Amino acid sequence: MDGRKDTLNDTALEQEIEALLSVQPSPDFVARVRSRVAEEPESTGWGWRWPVAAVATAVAVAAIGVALWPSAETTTPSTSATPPRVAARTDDRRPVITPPPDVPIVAPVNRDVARVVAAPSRMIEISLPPVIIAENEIRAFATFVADRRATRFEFSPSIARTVDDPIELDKMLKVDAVALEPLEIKPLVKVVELE
Amino acid sequence: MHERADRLPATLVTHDEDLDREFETRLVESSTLAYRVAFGVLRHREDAEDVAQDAFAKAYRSFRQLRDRDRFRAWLVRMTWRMALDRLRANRRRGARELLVEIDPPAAAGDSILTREREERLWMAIDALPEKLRLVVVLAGIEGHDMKEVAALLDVPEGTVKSRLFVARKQLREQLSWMAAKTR
Repeated sequence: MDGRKDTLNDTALEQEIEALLSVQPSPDFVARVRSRVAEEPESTGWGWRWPVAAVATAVAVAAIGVALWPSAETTTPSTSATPPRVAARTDDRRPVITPPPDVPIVAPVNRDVARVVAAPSRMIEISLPPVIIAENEIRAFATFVADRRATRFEFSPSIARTVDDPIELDKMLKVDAVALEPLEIKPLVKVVELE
Repeated sequence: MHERADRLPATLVTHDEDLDREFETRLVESSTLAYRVAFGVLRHREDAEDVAQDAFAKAYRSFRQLRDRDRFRAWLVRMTWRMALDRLRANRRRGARELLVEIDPPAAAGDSILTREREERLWMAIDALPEKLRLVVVLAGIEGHDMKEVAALLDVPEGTVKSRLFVARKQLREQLSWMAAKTR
């Protein structure tokens, strides 16, 4: 019985709400909408294209940024915690050319190109300023490295006339023997006696 | 090449004409729907017309994406509802209009004071519903809308509409009986 009553109430309620909403717009409503729409800018169809164009532009900018990134890094020092690894392309194995003694030593100009590795997979070419190192310094360093490899250390002063002459111990300057007088150690004066 | 270029403007004009013709069709068949949805919120004829007009103008701007009939009607209902709520809030803020005083009773409604009172109570009960339930009640109350159509307009399953309508009617009955008891 209650269910039947609810159904009837539902129907009555439905009808009442329908009656409330059975309103009609004024006769000139559609005409007014038409004139309003006529004032609107034409629907150009660009509405959905703007987001696409914006995304495409963003992608293009990102691509250009990635392409130009290495060159930008050469001018901007890295501030990251891990400094960039610099692998200088030096010709360590090239032969050392020794000029004759009367020829003045001209410092070589190192215009090698170093490769800076900013990221594990990216290498950047940068040009280093010329490094001026005297030839004899290079030779001394080469000798030191060679000796180090042979685990031989020689700290004797060089007596060779030229830097290319071998260093031999028997050509070392002779050192005169120094005669030292024997030391006499006397007991200290007792403080008690002095007092 | 030139022939194709010459044909292009004509094609565009034809295309725009088609679009305008389609919009005109949608306008004629959906104008009452938009108006009633707005009226269901505002209960003021002129305001409802203004809001419905604005909604159509907005629909025209995006009409290329709304050419499908069902999609257009669903979009129009949601847009009109939202714009009507915005208008209602703005009116309330201004406080320039006493909505209850200005209710325009439908022409078919009875002229007696009792009928008028009954309508006022029903509107108050509808206004007291949560927004989701209120929208379902209004859409189902608009003549010719069954559950399926309301579901399509709201883009929700039919079962959801059924349950919302059940809860809404229950709350309306309770509210109306409470109001009736209060006036006795």
